[in-house]
Amino acid sequence: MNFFLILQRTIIILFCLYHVMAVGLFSMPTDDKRMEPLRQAVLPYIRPYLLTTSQWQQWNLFAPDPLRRVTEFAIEKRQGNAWVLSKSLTPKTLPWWRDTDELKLLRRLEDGGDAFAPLRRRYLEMHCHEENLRRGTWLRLAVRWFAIQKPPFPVPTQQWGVAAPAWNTKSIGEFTCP
Amino acid sequence: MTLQPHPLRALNSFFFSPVSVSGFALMRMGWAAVVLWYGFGELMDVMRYFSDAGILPAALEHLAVREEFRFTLLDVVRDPGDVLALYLLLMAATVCILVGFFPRIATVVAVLLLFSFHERNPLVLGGGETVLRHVGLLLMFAPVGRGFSLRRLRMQWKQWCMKKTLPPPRTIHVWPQRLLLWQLIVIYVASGWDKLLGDMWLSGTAVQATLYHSHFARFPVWMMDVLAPLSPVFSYATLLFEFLWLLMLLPSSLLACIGLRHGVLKRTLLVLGIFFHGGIFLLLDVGSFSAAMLVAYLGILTDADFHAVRGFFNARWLGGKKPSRQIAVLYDTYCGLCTRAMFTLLILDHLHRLKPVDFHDEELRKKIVPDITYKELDKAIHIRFIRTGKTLKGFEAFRTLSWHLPVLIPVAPFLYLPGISRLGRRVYKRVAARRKKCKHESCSL
Repeated sequence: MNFFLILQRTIIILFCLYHVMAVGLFSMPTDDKRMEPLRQAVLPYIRPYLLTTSQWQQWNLFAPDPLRRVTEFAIEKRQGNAWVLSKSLTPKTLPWWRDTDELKLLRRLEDGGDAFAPLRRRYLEMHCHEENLRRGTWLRLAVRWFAIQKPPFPVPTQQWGVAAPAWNTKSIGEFTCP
Repeated sequence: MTLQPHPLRALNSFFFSPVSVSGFALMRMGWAAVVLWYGFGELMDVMRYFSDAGILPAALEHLAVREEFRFTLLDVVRDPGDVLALYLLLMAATVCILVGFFPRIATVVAVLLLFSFHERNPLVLGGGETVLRHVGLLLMFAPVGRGFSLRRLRMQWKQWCMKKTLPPPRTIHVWPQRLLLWQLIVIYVASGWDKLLGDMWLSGTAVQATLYHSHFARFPVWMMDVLAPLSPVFSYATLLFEFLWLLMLLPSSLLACIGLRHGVLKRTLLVLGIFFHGGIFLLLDVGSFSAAMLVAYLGILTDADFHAVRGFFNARWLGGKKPSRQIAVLYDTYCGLCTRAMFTLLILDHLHRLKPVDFHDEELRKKIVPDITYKELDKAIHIRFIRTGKTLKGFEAFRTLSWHLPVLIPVAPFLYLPGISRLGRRVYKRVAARRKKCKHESCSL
C-alpha cells in the first residue's frame, strides 16, 4: 500500500470513529438527567461537527411517554361581538398531504410560548394575505385541546375518555390585518 | 498488505473490505423516492415555509433557528420565486438519483439542498426528515452510481453484447454501510432508552394512548378499539425490538455463544422492522419516518442478504429443492430485438430464475428442448421450466415470466383480463414478424 492510500485510509478510519462517537453521545436522551454531565462535557467537541453537517438528532418519538395532548387549531375572526371561524386547522380539514407539516408547525408555535408570539402573529398575518382579508380584520389563533388520560395500567377502552373528551379553548395570538 | 501486522489487517478489513453496491444503490433510489413523494406534498407550501414571504422572514428567523454552525443556501436565496426554483432543482435532482442519471453529482446536489431547506425552517421537521438527512450524508460519501444507474446499464449492455453474460455487481468499501448500521442502532437504542424514562411504555398503555391520538391515528376511535387491548403486548414488543439492535454490536464469536449469527440476526431484525414500521405507517400518520427507516434498511443489505432473500423465494417456488436457474428462455441471438428483450428480462431477473439459451446453439437446444424444432423456435420466444418440462411461447411465455420477475409481478394479474390475451398475441405476432429487421449488429446504445 502506498503512502497516500495509507494516509487516505487512516483519515477515513479516524473520521468514522469520530462520527460514531459524536452521533452516539449526541443522541443520548436529554430526558436522562444522569447522563447530562457527560453530554455537556463532550458537546463542545461534537456539536460543531454535527450541527454543521446537519446530523443533529434526538430520538424522542413517542418518548418518554407518547404525546397525550390532542390539539385542534383554528383561525377565528371578530364579527360584532363574536369570534367566528375563518379557517379550521385539523387533520380532518387540511389536505392529507399537508396536514403533518402544518400541524407540526402549529404545535411548535404553541409550544414556543411567549418567545414565539411574533411567529404566531406572523402566521395570522399570512392568513390575511392568503385570504385577502380586509384591512382592520381582527384575527385570533385559537387552540382547543384535551389530554388523553394516563391510566397507571391498561384499562378497557371506555375508560380512556376519548369518546366524549372535555375540550378546553384559549387564544394563543391575535392580529389585525394591515 | 501481507506485511501488515494482524491488528492493522483486521482494522483495514473492518473498514475497507468490499461489499456489493446493490444495497446502497437501492437505498439511493429509495431515498430519492421518499424525498420526492414528501417533497411534492410540500410543494404548495414551499414559499410559506422557506422564503422571506413565509412564516420565518429574516426579521423573525432568529426565534426559530440557531445562529452558530449552520449551513443553508437559503441564507442567501430568500426571494420566494428563487426559493421555489431551488426547491424544483431539488426535485429534479431526486428524479436524476431515482433513475440513475449522473447519480453521484445529483446526490450531492440533492443532499445539500435538502440540508439547506431543513436548516432554513426546522419548525416543520420531524423524525423522518432527520433520518433522511443522515442517510443523505452517507449517500454523499459512497460511490452510489456504481449500481442501478444508466452508466451501469450501459456497461451491462456492452458486456451482454460481447459475451452474452452480465457483469457481477460492483463493490464499495464497507465503511459507509457500517456507519449506517451504527446510525440505525443509535436510533433504536436511544429511542428505547428514552421510553424507559417515562412510565406509559412500562405500564403497557403507550400504544393505546397513541392509537387514540387523533393527530396520528389514521382510523377512527371505534376501529382503534379493536387493537387497543393488545397495547401491553405492542408496547413491550416495541421496547424489546429496539433494544435487540444492541446485539448487532456483539462480535460474531460472542453471538455464536448464544447460538446466533450476524447475518441471521440482522435479517431477523429487518423483518421485524418491516412489520414494526409497516404497522406504524398503516395505523399512524407520522410523516416520512416509517418510509425513511425502511429506506435505510436497504443500505445495510449485503450480497448474503440478497442471496438469502432469493433463496427463500426460490426454495418456496421449488418446494424446498435447491434453487438454481430453472426457466430456460430460448431466444434468437441473431435478432437485435430478441437480444434486447433477453437483456431486459435478465436485468429484471432479481430472483435469478432465468437461464438464457441461444437456440442457434444446436448442442444446447437438443439438451434443453429436444422435442421442439428449430423452425418452431424461430417463430417465437419459448420458455421451458427445466424441472417440470412445461413449455410456453410468445405472449403466454412473457405473461408467465412476469410472475417470476419481481418488478413485473404487480402487472402480471392484469395480463389475464378478458381481451388482453388476444391483444397480446396479436401484438406479439406483429412484433415477431418484424423482428428480423432489427439486426444483431445494432447492439449499441
